Amino acid sequence: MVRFIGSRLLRTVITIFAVLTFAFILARLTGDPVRLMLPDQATDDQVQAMRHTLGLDRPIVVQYLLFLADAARGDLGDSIRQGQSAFGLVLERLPNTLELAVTSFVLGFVIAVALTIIAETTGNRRLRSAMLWLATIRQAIPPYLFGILLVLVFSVSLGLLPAIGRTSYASFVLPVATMATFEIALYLRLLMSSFDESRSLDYVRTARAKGASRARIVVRHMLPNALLPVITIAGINLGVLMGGTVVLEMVFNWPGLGRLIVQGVTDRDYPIVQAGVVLIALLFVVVNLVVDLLYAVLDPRVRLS
Amino acid sequence: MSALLSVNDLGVSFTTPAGEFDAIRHVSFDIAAGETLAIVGESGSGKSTTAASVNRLLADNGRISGGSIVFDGTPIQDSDERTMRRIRGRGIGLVPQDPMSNLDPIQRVGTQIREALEVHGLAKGAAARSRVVELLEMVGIPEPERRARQYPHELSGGMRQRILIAIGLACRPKLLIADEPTSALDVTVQRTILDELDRLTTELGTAVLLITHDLPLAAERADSIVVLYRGDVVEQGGATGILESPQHEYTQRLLAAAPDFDSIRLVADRPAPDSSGGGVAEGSAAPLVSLRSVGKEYPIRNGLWGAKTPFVAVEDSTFDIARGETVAVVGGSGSGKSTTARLVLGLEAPTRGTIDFDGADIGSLRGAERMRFRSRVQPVFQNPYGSLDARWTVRRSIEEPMMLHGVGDAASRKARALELLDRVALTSATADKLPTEMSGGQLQRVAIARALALRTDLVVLDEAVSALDVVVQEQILELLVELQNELGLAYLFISHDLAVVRLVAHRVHVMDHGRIVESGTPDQIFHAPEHDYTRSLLQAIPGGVPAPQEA
Repeated sequence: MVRFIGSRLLRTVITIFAVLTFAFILARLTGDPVRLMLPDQATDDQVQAMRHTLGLDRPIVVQYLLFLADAARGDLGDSIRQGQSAFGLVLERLPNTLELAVTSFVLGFVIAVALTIIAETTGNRRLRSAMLWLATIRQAIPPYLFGILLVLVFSVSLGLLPAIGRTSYASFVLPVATMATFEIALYLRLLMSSFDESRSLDYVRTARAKGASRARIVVRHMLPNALLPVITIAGINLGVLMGGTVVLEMVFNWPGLGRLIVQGVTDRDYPIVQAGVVLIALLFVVVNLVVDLLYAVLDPRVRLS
Repeated sequence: MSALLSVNDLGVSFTTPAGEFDAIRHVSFDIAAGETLAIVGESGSGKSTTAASVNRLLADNGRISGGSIVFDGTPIQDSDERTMRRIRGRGIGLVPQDPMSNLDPIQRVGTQIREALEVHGLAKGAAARSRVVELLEMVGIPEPERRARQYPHELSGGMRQRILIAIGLACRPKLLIADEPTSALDVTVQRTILDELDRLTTELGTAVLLITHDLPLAAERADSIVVLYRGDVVEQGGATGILESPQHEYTQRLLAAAPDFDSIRLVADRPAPDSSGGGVAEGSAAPLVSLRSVGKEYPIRNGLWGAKTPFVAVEDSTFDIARGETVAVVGGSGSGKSTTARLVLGLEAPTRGTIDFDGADIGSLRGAERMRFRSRVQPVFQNPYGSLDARWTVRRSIEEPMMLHGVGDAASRKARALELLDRVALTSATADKLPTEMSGGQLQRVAIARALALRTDLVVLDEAVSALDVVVQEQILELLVELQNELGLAYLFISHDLAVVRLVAHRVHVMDHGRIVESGTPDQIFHAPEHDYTRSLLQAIPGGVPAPQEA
């Protein structure tokens, strides 16, 4: 177990290192920031002076090492437009994104599990295929389109809910609905196909031969086994969700991380983009570490290896 | 006395994409309380379907198309789920076949036994837990408290099968369905488990419906026997009667095909260069393969901090295989026999010792020489469904080795493939078939044909007939001997079954825990076994010679 945790931690550290390196290279590819920061009529001397203060005149290897050293202290440079710590700005926006992502994820996951249990216990084929159809249709609609559709119906036509911004609890409804429905569709399909496979498994038949009821078999045997592979996918997906709310934040004008990064791109404020990318990658890596450890807790077979 | 279970004119049919298909027709039998009845048949005979219809656990596409099943006075052929749930476990227990797949992998075994009690409200809480420990003790599991908290993967196959027996008997059912309860287990464990099952059901007065492919085993364990062949009952009656004077031609074939001590051997003894099997006597031709002090270890991480202790799969193995000779390596699972097969095939390198093939150390072969070695040594594995590509036609599978070794052109390869099919007694029409369209026996013939596609000198047969029904097994063994005589092939015959080995081997090495514990000719091994492990393997043969017993 110790070895297992140790190897996962090591993997996490290596991934973070790779992410930082990637972010460093990315920043060097976005063009010369000095030209952007200084007015057009700046002299070459002014440019050189600026490069010197930013350390851009040093050898690339030195720049890289300094970057890593700063990053280790949580310093990813200052925002060019706002002059504040880029990482600080990004962190400030993080809660807004997290509340959206986590709420949608939890709602989506729980509802999907509940629906799958209902479909399997009742054994109602029509209910099952109706759910699968709806899930497929939902998955076929891109989030921005679905979001706009919701806005059209509930805000514009019915006037029930606020369309944009983050002002009250009511303003959560539409963005969360957009994302949660997508999550439901995803997990519903995963779980149902997992159940399809486990229905004819030997240990399910053994449980039936004990005289166990269908509901009991579904909850005690089929669900825990079906959840194992789904949890891995859920981990990846939660990470994607945190970075992937960009489109949604633009549609609903949500003051989150995604919108800040998009803003950073249009402003060529590369420290913001860099800090945003690093933060999302960190979240992704941490969530996956948690999932790996959770997996070891849930699956006794992993604990030994 | 009225029967506990009475099956009358039972028919079961399955709906398949190809249409309706009758799995069993007009099956009738009675089991009295405390009696054991065995249903015997090969795969596809409908024996498992019969069992599944008794506790009404047929697959979704199956249905009872006719007849009746009366259990304990209640007709249950069309009872609803609710009624059946009360009967399952409490009235009719089940011990399924494969202990690997029949336990929930992520639930503690104690919990799984407890479930059988809980669903019938027989015990809960602390009472249930102590009952679980009692049950574990009853089925002969040491340290029951600790074992109850373990997961299936932490237990051996034999222990898992005991857990399944505990589940089947937890509610003291009147009838126990034992569906091939030991087929997935090691031969030496099989007998212990069957004895245990016998003892328990006798103690508890449980009637047993035993499903098996093994007629001698059925005769040994059951009071009466039903022989099924392709869905029809071909013979039924008392066990001794059937064994002594089988009436139906199929039953006679089944009995004749089952290898035992009296079966006529398919090969003649060869003069042994050295009766110990090791070393080469002067003057005899050099052996084709020669293993010298071969060992194979696998590093296994152990404990919390990952100290590596090597797992010794094979230790100090020394033997020869002469040209045209069959050398058998016999043992239970974990004995190192399959590792030996992989080493001789050159798929893995030994950690100690050398393996010479035709005078050259196979570990030192490189490039073209290695390819040539590969073309002369070919494997045939246990499961023909798994060892042939399901999307490839038979011809393509047979042609593949020739393609890889650049032998001939398209036309000559095709001709050779057809010739090989003929050689293994398959028609040329099979050339364009897919594995799914063929039976296990036919596929094993294809696998043999593939092994002979190149100029093969040695075929490594790793449990090559173990998955086959006895009648088919006999045919494949005959084919192997015939090919050996015609082509001068040498075989390394890996098996757990001494009775089969006796038929075809010239020399036998018995392995246990990675070591060769005994070597000799089949006659020596059978008539004068010296090692305890060899004796336990011999005792595992149903209907074999009774072991000398103390009164």
